[in-house]
Amino acid sequence: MDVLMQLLLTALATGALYGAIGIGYVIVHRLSGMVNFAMGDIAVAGAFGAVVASAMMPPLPAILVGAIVGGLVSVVMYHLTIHPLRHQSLMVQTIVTLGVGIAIRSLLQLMFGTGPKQFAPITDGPAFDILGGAIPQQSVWLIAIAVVGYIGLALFFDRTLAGKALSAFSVNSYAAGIVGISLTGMATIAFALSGAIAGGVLAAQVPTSFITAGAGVALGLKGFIAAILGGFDKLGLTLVGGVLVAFVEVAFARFVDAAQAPTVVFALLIVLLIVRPQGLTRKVAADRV
Amino acid sequence: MTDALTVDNVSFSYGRARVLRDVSFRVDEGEIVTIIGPNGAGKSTLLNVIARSHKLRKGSVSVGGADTSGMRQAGVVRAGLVLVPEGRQVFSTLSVADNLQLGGYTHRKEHKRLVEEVYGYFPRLFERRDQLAGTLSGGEQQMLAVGRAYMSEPSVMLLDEPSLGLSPQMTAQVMAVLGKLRRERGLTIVLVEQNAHAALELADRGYLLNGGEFVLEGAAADLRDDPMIRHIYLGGAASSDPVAPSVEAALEKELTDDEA
Amino acid sequence: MSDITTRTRPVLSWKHAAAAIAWIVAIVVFASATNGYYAGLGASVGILALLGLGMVLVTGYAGQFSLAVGAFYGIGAYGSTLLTVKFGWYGLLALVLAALVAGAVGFLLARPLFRLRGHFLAMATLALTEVFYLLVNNADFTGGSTGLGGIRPLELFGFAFTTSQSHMILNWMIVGIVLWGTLMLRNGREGRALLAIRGHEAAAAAAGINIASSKARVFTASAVISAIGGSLYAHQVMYVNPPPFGLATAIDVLMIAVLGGMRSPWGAIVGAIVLEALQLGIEAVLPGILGSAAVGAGQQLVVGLLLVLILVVRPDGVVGAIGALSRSIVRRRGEAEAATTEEVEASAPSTDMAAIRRAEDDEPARRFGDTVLTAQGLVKRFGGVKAVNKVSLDIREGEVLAVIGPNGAGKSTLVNLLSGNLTPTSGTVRLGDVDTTHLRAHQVARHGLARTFQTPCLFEGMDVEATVKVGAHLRGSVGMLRSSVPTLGSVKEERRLAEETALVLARLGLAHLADRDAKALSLGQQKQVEIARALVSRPRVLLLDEPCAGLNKQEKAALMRLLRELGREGLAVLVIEHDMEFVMASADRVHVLNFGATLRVGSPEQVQGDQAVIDAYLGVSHENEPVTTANVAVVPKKRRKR
Repeated sequence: MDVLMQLLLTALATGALYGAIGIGYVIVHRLSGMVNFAMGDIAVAGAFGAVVASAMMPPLPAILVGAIVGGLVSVVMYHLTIHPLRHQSLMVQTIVTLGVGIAIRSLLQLMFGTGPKQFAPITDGPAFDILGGAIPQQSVWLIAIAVVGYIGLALFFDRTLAGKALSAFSVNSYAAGIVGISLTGMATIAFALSGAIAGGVLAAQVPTSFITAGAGVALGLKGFIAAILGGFDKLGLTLVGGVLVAFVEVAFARFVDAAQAPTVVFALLIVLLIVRPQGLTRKVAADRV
Repeated sequence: MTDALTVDNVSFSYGRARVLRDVSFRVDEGEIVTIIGPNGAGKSTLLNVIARSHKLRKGSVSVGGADTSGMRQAGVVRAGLVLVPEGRQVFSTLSVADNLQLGGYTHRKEHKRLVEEVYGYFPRLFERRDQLAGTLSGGEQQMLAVGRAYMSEPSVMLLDEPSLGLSPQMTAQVMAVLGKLRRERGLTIVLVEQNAHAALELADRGYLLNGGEFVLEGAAADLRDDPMIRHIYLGGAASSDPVAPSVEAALEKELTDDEA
Repeated sequence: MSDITTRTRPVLSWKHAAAAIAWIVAIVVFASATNGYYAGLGASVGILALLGLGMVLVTGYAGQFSLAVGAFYGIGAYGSTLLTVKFGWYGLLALVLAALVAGAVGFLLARPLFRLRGHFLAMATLALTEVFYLLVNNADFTGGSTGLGGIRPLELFGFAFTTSQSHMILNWMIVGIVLWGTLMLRNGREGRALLAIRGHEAAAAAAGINIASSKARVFTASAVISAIGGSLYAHQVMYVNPPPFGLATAIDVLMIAVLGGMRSPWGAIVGAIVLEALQLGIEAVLPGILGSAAVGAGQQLVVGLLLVLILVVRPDGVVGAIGALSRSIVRRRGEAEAATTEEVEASAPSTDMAAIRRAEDDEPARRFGDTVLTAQGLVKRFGGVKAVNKVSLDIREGEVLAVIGPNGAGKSTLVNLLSGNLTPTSGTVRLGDVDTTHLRAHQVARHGLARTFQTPCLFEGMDVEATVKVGAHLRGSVGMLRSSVPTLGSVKEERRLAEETALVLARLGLAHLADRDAKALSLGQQKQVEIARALVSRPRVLLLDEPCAGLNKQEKAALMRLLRELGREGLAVLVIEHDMEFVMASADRVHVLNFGATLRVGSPEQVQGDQAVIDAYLGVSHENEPVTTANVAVVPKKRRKR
């Protein structure tokens, strides 16, 4: 029972991270049907922003800086590489994001090297003991930040005019144009939010583990699974999906083979795509290819 | 007096197909003008070009004297021209109230006043204001589309086949509201319809569009009885109807003149 | 180097033999002239080119975005290694087995994978490569992250490939063979099918192409080619470890294809050379600036940036740029030709369709043949909307049936139900005595139905002749292998298909446009190409979806005459149209739809005079007065602007 609880607690924290990256995918996909292959690397860029900031300020503001950096990198990516290609096929836009991802990854490596980076947690102190499992304080912070981010986004989409405009644009871009909503404005907001949530939550994870320049690939894949589970549409289900993925990963590592845990997760991605592309939702995921 | 809407020499092609050929017309303030014609004539394209859903490459458009040819769609909406598109195109997963709020995207400050006026004209929308737009009936969606357009405080409203898929009663209701909006608000209306009769009853003037150009224009009352319309829509009628030889000759001339 | 398919040339001409000899000579000379280092580089570039060719097949020809190349490359390399090192197998046999394994994996995964589209497919194949990398990295029997060494050189009939020069010659020979096959494929039946799939899947299915099966085959071929590349790598480097078989290589290969322009096999060669040159350049320059540790990341950065830049600036790559340049030279000549075509058409015969039809009706009455298409009670619901509501119709051999109705009446949906592009919610469709209700588009095509689309669905980069020949897909049987390696049978079949295509092109007056890019034609000509493509399959039933939209008077009259001719020849034709003049002149019977249901069926005259039909189109009038001379006013007509 203790073991199970421990696994659950670990999965909650890691899953919140995967879910946040998944939410990053979903926001952009809702807007234009595009999958941003650079999502993981954008999150890593945000995390490195936090690392740099942590030298000048306490952890919590540094994490905020991480979110801002993630959002900025994402917006710049949109305006330099995706906006010029908006009339090309989705395929071309997707390949470009692959290229951007590589560029970000290698740039970070050139700037910071391949070694792991870390900074201090927001609060120092012993881990919390919950029903036999231990969860570090920073992980609680991470979950809190992820949840706050999710609530903020949900409120944004449901209550604010800009958020409703984004939803409207996703539902019917033609009609959105008719009422005067512009693609560029909406895209900027979408990409900014996407980069911010992914970068911010990853930055919050850095104190409990570490960050390396090349982490974006694996993170991107795992976040993608969370997005699939959310049907590439529902933010809440994406978070849940992230926890599910994390749970499978830690359970496999604990009970079978730690080294092959990521392999199993990626294999699950392939199976999921083929067998149940709509994930946890009921409808079939719209693929606008 | 400046026209509410001036369209000058507008041409448009979809790839290789010439859909609009040098179309020009003017609408006075408070006028209701209808553009009728068979399918494929280019009516929808014309409205989309004027409203800037399509790029305007050849020709010019002015709204209330201001040249909107180079503007982006948001700018055209702010200049006072809005489109009620074919098939309604409401935001189906958002509520009626949200749809209206989005309609006022460019006129946020006036939202409260405008939405009250919309509910005044469309009490049914007020009743259903929290309902998802996709669950409304066709007629209600049409009302919503008009209300949404109203929220941008337009001086000119373009409507693309509002009677599509609606019952005759519903169509009559929609036409009645449009008439009211013209009377009480001085709204200028350009109405594109396949349903020639209903449109010609509401409108002051009309144009018949065929093959991308206007082949007939005049007062709505005169057009209503013009056999040319029936001929253009269904073909062959001219030979079986007793019509004046002069008109018949004119019809023949139209046929032979109609080339590439 | 243009990526437009050209007219079928005699397949095995002296030109091909000369090219092959030139290729061999060039490789041997280059290899002998250089030292070991450059020959080794050359050999590596050869392997890259091989991988690039595999990607051109899947992503360039078939248009499917796959990043699985890393996994198949790895299967080849590790397969050869394990078999020769751990089991002492003969090198060549190991290579063949590894390639077969890769092919089998590819074939098994193909169908489930290709149900995915676009970025989902890309992600799935990316995951596949990652999974392979992680598997070999973590397993003991593959040597884990250290890898396996001690691989002996490849042996062929006693000759051992030990020197770099021999590797280079071997690799580039194989590249030459695969390049040949890929180029031949493009001009063959299966290659056309793949390009058609990439161009427009619905039109490809309408021509009878089994899309899933074609995608599976090309994926398998690509897997085999990548695996061979892996085996060559293993025997050349004599050591395998995980890194070359991961995501980085997959992206490199993608880069090669993008650089070269995706669609051209030559582009893979060019891309491989350019990429290697770039990597070398960075290796030489970067250590001086950022230290030697930065080389890996620096190379990656350049690849990433280049990928972005090329796509933003020139999405069709280097070869595409060259092709565009040569085409712009050809275009000026082409423009002069276009003008003459239109002049000829201007002096065409009468365009009074009604008169033409009246003249025809003076001939002895035609009898129609058996019923070829029957639809019973077709219903199609989309969510809560009934787009088609219990529609029944039938067409007989030799009959022209027009389906008309106001906007939104469900005409296009009906055609899609008949052709298999949509499945009915209820009701049946029969072609002859075969129930085709639940068959998919390409299967319905096999039973003798051909169709056109509302907007011409042409294929990117194909000339008129090739586009029309796609329609003859079902009249041939040459598959992928025989398309790449011309046999006597496949050559004969190509010739026959070319003749049939030429006949149809001549009939529609398109013969002189045969080698023009189909997308560069006028709309009227494009629609004729669509009809030609449908006719060349010798169907029993022809469905035309709004063929008149955008046509001028002459073109419509010519089309009307064609339909009447086809009817006289026994073809059953169903036409959806809005142009009433055209419909009344060309149809034997007219079927009127309104709100998805049948309103009236009858002869053109009956339908024209029917009050319900008139009301449906024009709306109900409140004054039901007959039109008389008394109340018609001559309305000032608008003068047409010149």
